[in-house]
Amino acid sequence: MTSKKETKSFAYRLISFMFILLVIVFTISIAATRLLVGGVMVSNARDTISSLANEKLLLIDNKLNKLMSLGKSYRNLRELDMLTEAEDRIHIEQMLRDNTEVRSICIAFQPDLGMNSTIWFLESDSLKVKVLTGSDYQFKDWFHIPLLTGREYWSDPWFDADGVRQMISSYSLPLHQGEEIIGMLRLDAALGRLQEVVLPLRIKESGITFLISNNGTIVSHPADSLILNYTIFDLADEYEDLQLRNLGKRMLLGETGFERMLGHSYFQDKWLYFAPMQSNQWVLAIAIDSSEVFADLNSLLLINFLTLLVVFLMICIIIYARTHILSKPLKQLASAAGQIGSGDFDTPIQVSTNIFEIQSLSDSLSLMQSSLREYIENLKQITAEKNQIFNEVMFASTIQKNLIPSNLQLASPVPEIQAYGILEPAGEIGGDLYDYFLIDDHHFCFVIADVLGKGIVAAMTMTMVTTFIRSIAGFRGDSTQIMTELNRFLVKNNLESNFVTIVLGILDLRDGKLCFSNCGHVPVYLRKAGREVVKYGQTHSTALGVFEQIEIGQECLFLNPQDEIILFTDGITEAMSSKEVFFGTERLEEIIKKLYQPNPETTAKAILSGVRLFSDPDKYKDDITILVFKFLHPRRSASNGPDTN
Amino acid sequence: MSESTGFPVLGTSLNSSPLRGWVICTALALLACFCVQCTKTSPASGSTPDTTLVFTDQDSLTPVRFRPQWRHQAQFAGVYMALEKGFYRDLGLDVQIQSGGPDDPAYESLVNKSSDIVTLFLSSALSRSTPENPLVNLAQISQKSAIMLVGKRSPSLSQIRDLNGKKAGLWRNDFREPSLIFFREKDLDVQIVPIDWSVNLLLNDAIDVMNVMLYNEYHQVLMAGLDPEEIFEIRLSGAGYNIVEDGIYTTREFFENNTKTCIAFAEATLDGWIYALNHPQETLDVVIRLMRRDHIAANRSHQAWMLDKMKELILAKPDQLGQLTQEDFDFAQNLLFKHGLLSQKIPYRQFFPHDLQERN
Repeated sequence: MTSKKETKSFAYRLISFMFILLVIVFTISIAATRLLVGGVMVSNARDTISSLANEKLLLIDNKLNKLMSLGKSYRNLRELDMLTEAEDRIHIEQMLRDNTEVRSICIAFQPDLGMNSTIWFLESDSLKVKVLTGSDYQFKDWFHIPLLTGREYWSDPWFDADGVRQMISSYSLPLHQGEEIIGMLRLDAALGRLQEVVLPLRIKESGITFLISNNGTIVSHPADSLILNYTIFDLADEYEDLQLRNLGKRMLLGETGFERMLGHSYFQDKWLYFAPMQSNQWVLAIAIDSSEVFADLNSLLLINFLTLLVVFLMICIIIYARTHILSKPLKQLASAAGQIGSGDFDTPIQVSTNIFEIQSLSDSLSLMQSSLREYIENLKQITAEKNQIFNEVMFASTIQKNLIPSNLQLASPVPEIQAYGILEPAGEIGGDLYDYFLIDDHHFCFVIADVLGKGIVAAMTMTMVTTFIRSIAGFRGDSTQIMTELNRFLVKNNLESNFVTIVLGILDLRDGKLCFSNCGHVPVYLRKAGREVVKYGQTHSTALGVFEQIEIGQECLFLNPQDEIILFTDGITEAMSSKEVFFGTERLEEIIKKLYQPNPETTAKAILSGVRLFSDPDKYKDDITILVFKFLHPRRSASNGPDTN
Repeated sequence: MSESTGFPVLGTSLNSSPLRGWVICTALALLACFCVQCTKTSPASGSTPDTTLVFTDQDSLTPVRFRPQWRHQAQFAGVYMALEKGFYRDLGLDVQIQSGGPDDPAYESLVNKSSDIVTLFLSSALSRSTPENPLVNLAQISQKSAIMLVGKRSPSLSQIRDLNGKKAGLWRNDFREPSLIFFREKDLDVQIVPIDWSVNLLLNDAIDVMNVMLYNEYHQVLMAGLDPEEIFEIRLSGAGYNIVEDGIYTTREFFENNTKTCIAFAEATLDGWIYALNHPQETLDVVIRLMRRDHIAANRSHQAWMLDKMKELILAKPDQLGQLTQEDFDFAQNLLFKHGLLSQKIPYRQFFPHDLQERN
């Protein structure tokens, strides 16, 4: 069963196609744009952000570098012992007043030297000095680390409770006396001043700026709770963000970078720019929303999308309008084709169009219309002729059937004989025949034959054979003479060179003597009254109708009362099963042997039934003919003695 | 400032003016109440430092002044939760938690009677317990040593014997005995550098190795960007020097005069710890609140790490919760005695006179 396909209009098909095409084009366009322009956007964003960041870095570095230079100069003066105590005080005050970057100055000595350690700073525009009490300061990072390393050191921000009482970041330089470090010179920068430089820096809408110290501590950030409480690694740890941790390590190594933060992160969907300061190796970092980095690109893509949408809608409208106009003549053609299909071959095909393809279709339809008209006429004529032939064949079939004895009328042609015949042609008419008749009062003649081939020629040959036998049987005493005459006749008159296999026998009704000739035919079976089956397979000549000069012999036997003679054609033995196995004589003999008290009708029908059960109808193509007669008893009148042949 | 950044803000922003007004008013009111409470409540020995935290005021309760050996952090979460959840009050105690740390050393405050009960390492307590001023362990909180020695792993520092000739930073005031014993036992010639708590000395290569606690400084080192595989570490617990640490101590004099109070304090503190370990988020809220109140840098993820590691230490011997076992006591005392950090051995029951209730 075939399902009818769903049909859609031209417009629908074209619009669908255009839609798919445009989606593909748009997708490729987005991908290409993102790939090509995305890199440019990132590069631009990086340039913009790095330019701003570098400006701030420079600003902070300048402040810190100035502080560092001041520290180094002052340390040289101290170490060279070039200043008196009064000059020292004036110098420190001058440094504090002239350099706002320096919030306080501390000169601290190793506690075991017994020297006063002091902190200097300006308060209310006057110079204040405080002496460091105790010795715990030696364990503070600003003192301890440069003491142990012998190098200058920038501390993390810390709260100076002894001095200015605010968050500061300290730059410490070891003070030497000879080779020995005797203390530390410390210049402090107020953390707030550094934050002031960084925090106003806003990049677009979402950008934020923050500072990280050289151990990852967040020194400045818009979120106060993070400052000095969290390191960049704490944030990474809290969000289990390995990318941020790796980025933090790169920051501390002094690298510069601009990376997109992926996955679950404190900086999710942000780009992170970072660059180190030259003075104290802190890191300035800027985080900006990814959407802002790609804002221009996204706008471009949106414009692309809207343009494409408008183009698509316009194409849809144009396609719909055009296909509507174009499909008009097609609809007219379809209507005309429908009319033609319903048998109206005279319906006019009038399509006015300037489209070549549709005009061609119209011309083709007109041509088809006239061809169909002509074809139908021819068909009608041929059909009439064929019907006539068929009728004639059917008539021939009827004649053929009438030529063979009717089982109803001639079941007992004579009291001594009981006969039953079956003839089933493979087509309407066949080439098989059987016949039986009385030659004279005492002789019963029977014949079964198979003409090679089928159809009219075989049927005509069969008609010739039966007519010929009936016409000469009365003048020729035995089967050999009848066969010889028949052979001669067939050789002379058989134009199609069909040959005929045949068994012809003559039974003397008085004593049951049966003489028969088998000319190339299948065996003859005798079923004795005692259920014994005798096969007479010997042929007495070749088939008839081929060679004019042939010797035809015969075979004689005496039938006992109740003996049955079983005759058939090769349609029985050569019937084929679905496995392409012939029915053969053995199966036939089995059927015959199993019959219990048979009569000719039951024997013939049993054989036919056996063949039909066995054979495959698709492979069962030959004519089937069976003739069975039973010799009931010898003629009881004693008027004449038996004939001699 | 923080509201316009689009970032999640961990702290509270006070920049919006109506909110700021309310918060300032509320803070002033709380400060006024706090001052009134301070004048009303007289602790056992009189003077109360400014940093003392007063959680309750009930005249019928027995006042107890407790000082941890370090600043407020999750290391002492059990005490905070015992106070927060009323476990001390339920046992008739009015506990004041004082600030600890290098500026307020716990042992010294016990000696000068500014605190009644403190926490100390077992090694510190044993070495400082003298016949003139004997100490008593009321409960042993940690059942496993958390002391580590860590340095930056390098070809010249990858095994224990590489410590020879290296600078080792040990805390200057306390907690250094186990590391000293380790150096002596391993016959290592190490240059000891007394340090404060800062890990910056190690990060800036001023020292080669330093003392850290698993629950505290070790995490700080990790959070300064050093990965575990970049760290050379020795866990004393794993190296055969598992001297248990945090315990609750008082003087024998105070114990004998206030036995019930001491036992009640130990029992309530253990209950506090059980509550803290079972309710980590609530506990962290309390810890962070206390730290912020004391202006201590508060980092929740660090405190969470600390609480988690404390859980490992406390539950190292789940069936000995709060008990100082004779085995641990003898092990620590013998090591200290062997290395001259203890002049005279102390009988176990004299040092740990009272077994605590068994807890499931």
